[in-house]
Amino acid sequence: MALLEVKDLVTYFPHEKGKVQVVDHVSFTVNERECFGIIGESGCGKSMTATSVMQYHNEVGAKIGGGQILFEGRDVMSFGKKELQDYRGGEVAMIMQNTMSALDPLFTVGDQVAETIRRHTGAGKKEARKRAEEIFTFLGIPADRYKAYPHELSGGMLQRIAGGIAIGSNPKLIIADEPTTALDATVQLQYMQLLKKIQKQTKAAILLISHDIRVIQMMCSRIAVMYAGQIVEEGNTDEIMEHPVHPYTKALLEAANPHALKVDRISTINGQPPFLLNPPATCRFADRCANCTHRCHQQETGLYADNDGGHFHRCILAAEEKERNATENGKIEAFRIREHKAAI
Amino acid sequence: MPQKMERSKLLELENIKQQYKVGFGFRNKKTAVCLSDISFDIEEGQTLGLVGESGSGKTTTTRVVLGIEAPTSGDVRYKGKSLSEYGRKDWKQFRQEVQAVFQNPLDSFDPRFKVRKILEEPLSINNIGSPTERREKAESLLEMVGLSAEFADRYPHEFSGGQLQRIAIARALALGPKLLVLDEPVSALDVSVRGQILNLLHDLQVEKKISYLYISHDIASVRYLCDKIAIIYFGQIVEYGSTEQIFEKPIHPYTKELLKAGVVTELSDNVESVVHEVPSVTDPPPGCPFADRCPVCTGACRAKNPTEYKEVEKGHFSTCIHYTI
Amino acid sequence: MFKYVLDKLIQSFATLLIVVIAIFLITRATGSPEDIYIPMDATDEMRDVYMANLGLDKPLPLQFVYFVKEALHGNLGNSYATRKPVMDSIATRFPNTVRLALSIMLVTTVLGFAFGIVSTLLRKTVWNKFFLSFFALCHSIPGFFVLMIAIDVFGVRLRVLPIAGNSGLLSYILPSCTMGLLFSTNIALVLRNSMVEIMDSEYIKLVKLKGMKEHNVILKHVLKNASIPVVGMLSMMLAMQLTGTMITETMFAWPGIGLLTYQSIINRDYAMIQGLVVIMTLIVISVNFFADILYAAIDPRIRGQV
Repeated sequence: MALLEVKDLVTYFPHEKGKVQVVDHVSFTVNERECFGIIGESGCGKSMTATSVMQYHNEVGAKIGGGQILFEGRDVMSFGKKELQDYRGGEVAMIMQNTMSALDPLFTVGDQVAETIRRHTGAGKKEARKRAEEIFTFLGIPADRYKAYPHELSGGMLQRIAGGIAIGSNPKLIIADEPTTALDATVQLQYMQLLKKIQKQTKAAILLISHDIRVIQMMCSRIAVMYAGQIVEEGNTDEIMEHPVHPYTKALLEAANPHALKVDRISTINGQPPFLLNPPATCRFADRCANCTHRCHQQETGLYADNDGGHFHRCILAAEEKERNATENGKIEAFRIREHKAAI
Repeated sequence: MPQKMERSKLLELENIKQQYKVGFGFRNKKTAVCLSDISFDIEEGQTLGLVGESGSGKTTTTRVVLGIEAPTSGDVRYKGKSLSEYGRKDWKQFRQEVQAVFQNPLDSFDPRFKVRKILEEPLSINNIGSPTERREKAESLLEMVGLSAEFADRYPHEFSGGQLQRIAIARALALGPKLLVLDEPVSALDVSVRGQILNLLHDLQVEKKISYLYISHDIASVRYLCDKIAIIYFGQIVEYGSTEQIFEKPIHPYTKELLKAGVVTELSDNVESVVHEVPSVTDPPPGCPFADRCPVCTGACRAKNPTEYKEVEKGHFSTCIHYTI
Repeated sequence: MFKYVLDKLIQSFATLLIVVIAIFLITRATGSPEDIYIPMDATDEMRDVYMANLGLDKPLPLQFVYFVKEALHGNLGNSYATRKPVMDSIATRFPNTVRLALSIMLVTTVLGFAFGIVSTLLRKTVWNKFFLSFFALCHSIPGFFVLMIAIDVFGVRLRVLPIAGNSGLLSYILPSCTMGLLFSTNIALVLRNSMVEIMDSEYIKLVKLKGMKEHNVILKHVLKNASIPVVGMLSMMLAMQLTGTMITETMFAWPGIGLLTYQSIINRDYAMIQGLVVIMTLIVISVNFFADILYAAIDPRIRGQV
């Protein structure tokens, strides 16, 4: 059932003073036909995670320092050139954030969709064109736009084209990296409905990356919250929305609450994420956390289970409290799992 | 637009029309109507939110307000005097009193200037204060926006988006403006940082009683900062009123759609079959420009573009013909 | 697209008209031909006859009209030096220039693209410095110097290639290969810079993430986008070559219009110069026109603009 398994992934940028660890022992699984979301803000490592999954990190100057990426059980990092080219776009397709700059300005949008189809399905020119036109209809793009050029279309339309390029090859997994961020509020809604439709019809799994909680909440059944290169909370969407454990998750949900703007003061998180050069093994949110104690600065964090239902988090205090409650109630369980040394 | 109560009006826009000639060469010059009829005003210490989507004319409106472009027709008045009658002295004063903060913080700064120079520049251009005084002012501006004075010696690329917007706000405040034009200042920022900037803007407004023209496509942030709201679609203001009025009793279908987009939490299974684009600026349809997207559109809507404002309640106007008083 | 072409055509005619008027006025401003043509000891009556013959007794605008009328019929006047029609000389020599120009441009384009593409692909290897130095070297060396050396080596010492005049296919080799090689490095550098910038762009990232094969990425997407500035350079070079590079033609005694221009200037053959300038203007305007069309054919964003 597991389509994509990322285990203990470490991605870094070499720096003269050490390593800038942008993805720090990240593990998650995306199952078939599931929509898995990664939520976090700029610099948390979510985009670099996607880049690593696509094995594109080399071209942006990053290196993978450890861990495994398994797609349908195969080790992606050991793919040869040909295999990698078939994998990219064919088995795993990507929808990028800003399609206006992500499309070749010299070719029609129809051509660019057909190009993917020809490459990965072996279809001939005519067949590919026909299929591309079908995709256009499916996505609600008017047929006369086939011969249009990227600069002639609006942002919303281009994002649909991006969707078309992604599904043209019938991929098993679609990675959508901030697909709605560049869109207006009204168009965002339309686009998410489109993604849902795509998921239903194509039966592809979706790895959705965004900083917009609403988007994640509407689409994903399971999510991971990333902060400073690590996963700080993971579990079922509903569970996390209703019972967030990690202080960062709580603060994020509070800040993104649309009803929060009715109050006199918008909830916000003061400070900023740390620079990830040789990052500490201790809690990286400590400086900004309301509940921070001096132990948070000393003890290394791990991922702790909140319950049996696959809800994990990285807060030492919350885990200790849970353990205390359990011990009081006579249940002594091992709550610490998936613990590992973070950083180098 | 019917007359408002006479209080000291800082900025008034009256029937602004802005069109451009597009097309190339000696033939085929078409007219693109960017703004067809914009009217609103901002009183001293008041904040107005202008809400619309990309291409609706929000940015063009800011350019007209800031005096960067002259409108094709219509009048922009600042403190009662029309911008078209401005002489050199008037412009000098206008530029000190009306400042702007834009969406993309990194694009707003010369990457070779240190922050100190960025903040001192407005003062030195206007010959205000001695070099020492300017230095002190730059540092106090940084503190005003919540940044430490030691940031003055850094370059823009060393800062995060949120910090840069603070610097942009500090720079806008350097000359003690009366009106601040804010064009989507938080759209490019992370959601947890947005609150920081919005809170800052809120506090500054309360403390210094500056008027804001706040532009956004996200109606939720407008609610927090603005006393009144104008909804713009396809170059026209389709609804106008105080914030409470708009949120409690939205009239125009577009306003309702914007409000819904801000708070919806679940996707319906009912997916729209075709994407609706904004109508062409060079070839506008005869009727209401929102007709294609409107759930209550009728034949009458498509026949003639409704441009008259109906006063729904005191101070609350809308162009939709379906509202019957 | 059609509207774009029509527009460019109208612009070209307007430019041509303005330039022709300017040439007409300027040549007459540098001194009246009557001083050269009419013998010093002519009587007043003879002077009048001469003036009538040369058409110099008519008012200026009328002279211009005649000039244009004749020009449209292919008659650009008679050369002061040879007393024969200007058009004849040009018509005999122009084809030579065209052939030389095309052969140089062929070498330039082929080598330019080859060097450009290879240096881009190898930009992260040890060869990078080699290519960049090579381009800088070729850019800095004066063309005539290389030509002299080439003529000396291949023509004089080794006697393998002809060095004077247009005597058949072999005589093209020396000039086109030497000049072609030098010019190609300019093209190569521009192409390389353009390609490198584009390879970092967002859309090439997507093309790669679509799993397109290497050759497809480079040849179809990167090259097409990178060629845009190169088209400009190539058309400028072509225009220069077609209007006859005096240096190349002089060194090879190539009977083209470059040499003709050089000779006319020395002989102060104003009629010839005037005719040549008109022809050259026509060439440059035509080349620019076709370059504009080519731009619009490659880049759809240009089609909607002037």
